[in-house]
Parts: sequence; C-alpha cells; structure tokens
Amino acid sequence: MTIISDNQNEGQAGCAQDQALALRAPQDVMRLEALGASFPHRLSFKRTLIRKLHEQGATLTIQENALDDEGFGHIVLSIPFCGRTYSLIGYSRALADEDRTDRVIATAWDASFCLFDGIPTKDDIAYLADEVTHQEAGIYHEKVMSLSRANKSVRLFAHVVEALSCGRQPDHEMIAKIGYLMRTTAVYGNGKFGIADRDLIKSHEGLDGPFRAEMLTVFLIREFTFQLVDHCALMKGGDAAVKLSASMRRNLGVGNSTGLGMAPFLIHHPNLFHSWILVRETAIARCRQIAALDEDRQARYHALYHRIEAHLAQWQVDDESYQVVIAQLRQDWSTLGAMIADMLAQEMPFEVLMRWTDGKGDDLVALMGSFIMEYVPEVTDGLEDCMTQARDPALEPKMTLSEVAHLIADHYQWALALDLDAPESRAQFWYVSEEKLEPRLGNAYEEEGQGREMPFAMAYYIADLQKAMVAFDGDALVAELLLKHPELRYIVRRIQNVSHFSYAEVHGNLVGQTCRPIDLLRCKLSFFGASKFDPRSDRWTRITLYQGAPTAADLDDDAADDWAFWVVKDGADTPYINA
Amino acid sequence: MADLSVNQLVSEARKAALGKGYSFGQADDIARAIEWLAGFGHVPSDEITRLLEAPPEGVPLCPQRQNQTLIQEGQIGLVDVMAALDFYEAYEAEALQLSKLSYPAISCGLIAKRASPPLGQFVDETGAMLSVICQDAPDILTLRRCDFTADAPSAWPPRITIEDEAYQMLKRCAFETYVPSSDQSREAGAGAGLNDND
Repeated sequence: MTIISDNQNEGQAGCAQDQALALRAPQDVMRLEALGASFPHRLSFKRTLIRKLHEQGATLTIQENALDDEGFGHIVLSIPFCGRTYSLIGYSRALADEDRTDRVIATAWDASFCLFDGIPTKDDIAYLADEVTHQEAGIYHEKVMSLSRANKSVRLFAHVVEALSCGRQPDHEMIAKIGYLMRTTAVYGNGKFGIADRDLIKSHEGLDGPFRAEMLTVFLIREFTFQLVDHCALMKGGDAAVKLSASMRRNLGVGNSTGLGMAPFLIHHPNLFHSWILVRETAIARCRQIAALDEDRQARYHALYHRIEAHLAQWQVDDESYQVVIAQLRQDWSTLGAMIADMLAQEMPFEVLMRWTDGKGDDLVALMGSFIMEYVPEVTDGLEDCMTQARDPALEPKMTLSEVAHLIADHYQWALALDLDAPESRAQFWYVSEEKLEPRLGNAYEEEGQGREMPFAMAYYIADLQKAMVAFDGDALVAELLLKHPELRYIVRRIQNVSHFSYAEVHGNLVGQTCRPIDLLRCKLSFFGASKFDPRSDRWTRITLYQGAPTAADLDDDAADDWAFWVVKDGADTPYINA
Repeated sequence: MADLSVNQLVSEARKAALGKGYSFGQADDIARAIEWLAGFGHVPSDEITRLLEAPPEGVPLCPQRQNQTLIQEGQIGLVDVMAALDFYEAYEAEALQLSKLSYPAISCGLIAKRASPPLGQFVDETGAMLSVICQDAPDILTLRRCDFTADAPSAWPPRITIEDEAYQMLKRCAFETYVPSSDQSREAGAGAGLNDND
C-alpha cells in the first residue's frame, strides 16, 4: 500500500492520459450543469503563472510613471520572466461617468493596456498611446502581445484614494465586499486586431501555457491599479498621504465582467478544451488512487478545510438562485467538518471523500475536486504542462458509416434523448453581432438572423447526419457520404474527433431554451483561476482575478503559492496550508 | 498591402468562406489551408480574391479510380480537392492526379493539412512545395503518398501581408456572417443590458 507523505514528486513525471487511472466519464463531467459548477484549482492558469514567477525570482520594475496631478497619463511596469522582459504599458484617461460601461459596445475606458515584448521606447509608448486607447480600432504589431482595458470601481476607487490621502487605510469591509479597484472588460490575445499570434507567444519560454500572456497582463494590471491609487492619493493628500498597505493590496484583485464572448471559444477549440478537462480529471484521479495518508498528512486538512469554510462564508451574490446553491454548499461543507478527520484516516481517503459527494450536487463535487488537488500537490503539479493541444480535429474519410453510428450512440446520448421537434429545443441561436463583432444569443422565434448562427446546434446536425445516412449501407465510407452531402463535413469531423478526445464536446443542448451560457463561462473562468462568481444574468458574470495572490513584492515569499480559496482578512495573514 | 497577424487572416478567411456560402466544415478546411500557407509567409491574395468573387462551389466532382491512382479530372475547385483527398485517404490510393486546379496554392494548403502528421510539408518530385505554390499551376499535378514529409514551418512569421483588394474582399464576405443589431439584441443579446457598472 502506498502511503503518501512529504517530498514525493510524482506529478512531475509524465503527462495526462495515464491509462491506469479511472477517469470520470465525459457523460458526467461534460454536462452543462457540471461545467457550470466548476471551481478554480491549483492547475488553474493564474496559479501556475504565480508559481512560475516565484520560481523565476521575478521582480517588478516601474520603468516610468508619467501620471499627472489627476492621475492621467501612463505607467510602464516591466518584469523579467524566463529570460525575456515583458512590460505593461497602462494608459489612464479621463472618462465621463455616463461613458463608463463594461459592455463590449463601449468605446472609451478609464484605463487601457497592452503587454509589450521587451521594454518600450518613448516612441513605442507615444505610438501605442493612440492605438491602445482605441482598443479594437487600433493598428498593432507583433511586439504587442495582449490588449486590455479596465474601468474603475466607482464604489471603491474614490474611497480608497480619499482614505489614503488622509493618511489612513481604506475600510476593510468595502475591500472585502468589492475586491478590486478596477475591472477589466476584455483581454485580447492570439493575433486579435493584429497583435502577436499565439504561435509566436508560445515560442517564448514561460508563455507556452494556455492564456499565459493574458494572465501575466492581468497580474500586471493589478500592480498598475496599486500604482495609480497611490499616486492619486499622494496628489490629493500630499505629505499626509500613505500608501496602500501590503495586506490591503493582497486582498485586492482585478475585477472582470465576462459575457457571452468567452463561451464560443470552448466550442471552437474542442481539443484544447479536452486537454484542460483531461488534466483536471487526471489530477483528481491520481488523488483518488492514493492508498493512505500518514498521520502527519492527515492532520493537515484543518487549515485548508477551514479556509474553504471561511471563503464560502465570504462568497455573497445578489442572484437569489445562486445564493441558494452557495448556502447549500456551506451547509454540506459544515457537515463534512464532523467527519473529515475520520475519512482521511481511511484507506483511499480521497476516494472516500469524493464518494461522499455523490448525489449532493455538482458544486460540492467540483469543490471537493479542487480541495483534494490542493491537498496533495505532489501528485498533480507538473500536469499543467499538458494543457496545450496542437492537434486540430481531423476528418477520417475511411471510417464506415456504421462506425460513425456507433460513435453517435456512444458519445451523443444527450443529443439523441432530445425532442428536436419541441419548440424549446431550438429556442435560441448564437451569433456575432455587426456591432463591434460581439457574440450574442438570440431568441429564435422573435429575432432575425438565425441563418447566420454559429455552428452550435449539434443535436440537430446529428439528426441531419442520421437522416442522410439512411440512404447508405453501413459499409459505405465517410468519403462517399460527404461527396453527396458536403454540408455534413463539420459534424462528421466533430463526431470522429470525440473518439480520440472524449472531453471535447459539451454534453448539452446549447440552443435549447434552458441552456445557461453562464455555465460555459464559469467553466472557462475556473481554468483561469477566477473565484467568487457573481452572476448578473444567465449569460453574464462578474469575477475577481488574483485576489489573495502575492503581489509583485511578495513573489519571493516561500509561501507564494499558498493562496487557494483566499479569505479576506483585516491585516492578518491567512494561515498557510503547508506551514 | 494590409499587414496582419496570421490568426487575423485565418479568422477572416473562415468567416469569409462561410459568408460566401461554403458549409462550416468546408470553410474550416479552406481557412486551415490558408493558415498553412501563411505559416510559410505565403498569402495567395489573387486566389483569395478569385475564390470570393466566384459563386460558391456546389456538390463536388466524383474522383475516378484507375488501379492505384485516384484521378480528379476537369476544372477542379476546392471542394473537388477536398473530395479527392477524402477518397485518396479512404481508398489508400498510391497516387492522386489532379488536373487544372482553379486555386493551386490553396489546394496545396488543403493537401498539406491532410498529410500525416497534420502539419506535414508536401514536397513534389522535383522540389519544395513552395515552388509549386508560387508558380503557375501545372496542368496536371500528381501527388504520391511518399511525397508527404514531417517537415513543417518551425514558427509562423510574425507578420504577413495581403493585397488590399483581397483583404477588403475577405472583410466584405465575413460581414455576411454578422447579424445586424436590433434594440432587443443590444439590450439582451449579451446578457448585461446596456450598461454594467459598479
């Protein structure tokens, strides 16, 4: 029997797809409701970035602070990372209150940013000033690796400036409740609007992981907000002003308003999505396989368990149905408290814990997955290197139609079970609006444009395919079918792809009346590392990134990685899990 | 000339093909063929313009099998190349003979993307793939299974350029995939109303 104790490092060896592991079935994991219950975990992108920054001994340099008395101008922050230097150029501009909106349709923001490859010259900064402040309308080159913009939290920013200018720290309750000084409304990468392609970025060591450049951008935006608020306080209060304290900074992240724009990515990149889920599932399966914990490791649950308990207590949202789920989660977690010590002493302790969540709801299952991954990082860390996927879905023209039929039966039961004639089964359609190319969701019965929808009606495409297949023998080849029905090329390829990438497809009807896009958003955001989801509708949520993360000044701290399930505290540090 | 990232070009190409009337699967293949070419720094501006000016191709021609050679005759459009490649793979033919390619460069991109491994570089009997792409199409292009190699561009070029006419055509056709805004879509389509502040 394997006893897990300290100093084991199995996670570094080998990537995902360990055949010996019993991974959870896609039919369970890929349901929309299950995806919509996702929690961030230690392989989430911002966690792995912070670990890498810590490992690299990265230190932040303020290259230039060119803000005026009102806090308008620009700041350049640079950080060395894996042999290169990256700089955030942040432009702060005056913005009328009536122009401040987080919607993509906005054309002006309090601040706009780009991540620059290297240290920008004065000419670079001057050229990009006009382009970056116009975001999508700007003209860019490959030195620009990401593009972003943010608005001030109207509630918090002015309060913090006022408090600091008077020589006192801001109100802890407000910091805890809001959690950010600025909220980004978009972070663009991968060649958008002519910035550097992902292909170029991934060739830079350290930025090869998914969304690494974007995560680095947001980390630096957080530092920008600290610089900005300190500067504004100094301009206002002069000698009386104080800087934002280290503990206050730690409690502040970067807000983000996320709408539908995030969701199509998961459908358009099925194999990348598969690799994310596969890594998470492999990590959980590895934990479940652990035969036993020694007494020392058993005793360590305490700090993490109670931190999660406190974290859940601080998670407050306006959405009533969401708050009900959170309340149930708190109750279940509290119930666990009386049993967890005994459970961890049993054989296969994490299997016991996961079994205990059976039937108790997707949120608890997801939370437990994140908990056990955090508990034994030695079996999970290193898997993040497997979260990229270069292979595109490939057509297999030699496959027989009977094989295709088997794949449909094996992987698309959720689609076959739908009543496709029911009006509610195709009540919505996904499309890109002419207006700033924003992805939107339309009512199929009330709005025009369904003929231009994005290809998300998988169940209907499968029905079309099955109808076409009737005219062929089972021995007929895909090539023969597609000669007569070239319009089926897309769905045939997706179906074939799932036989190799089983987590590539969402098991849910994305065009049905009951589809909640926020489920897709939460899943993707959990991989970013977002927490405390605050839904504003079924297709829009606010989140906070990097709340509790080490600031740039804390990166060399030995406990720099210890900020999972952060609890906002007034001045005191959260106890370290592994101390 | 327009200066673009590769992803910008590929994204526009996918939408443009879709807007022109190609199916989702065909549009994706066309975009990936253009991506492969762009990876070598080659953007077939003229072919892109001609492809998007012409009406969308209909049902593909059926390739003929002669012994171990698969032959696609006539004036061959992109959907014909796709079908020929499907049968080439399905029948495990030794050779594929294509005559009168309407879009030789994009066709070569389609061929290369179907090589195994997927990003394999095609080399003809006399020289590199790019020499075929950059010159006028031969009347008959014969590809043999052994011509596919594992070589691929090590990295995309940081920038690519495309003729203005082709880029404008891409954008015009891509525009056909967008849905005009209405008050309802602006208000509710993205889920956050017209404003979202705190």
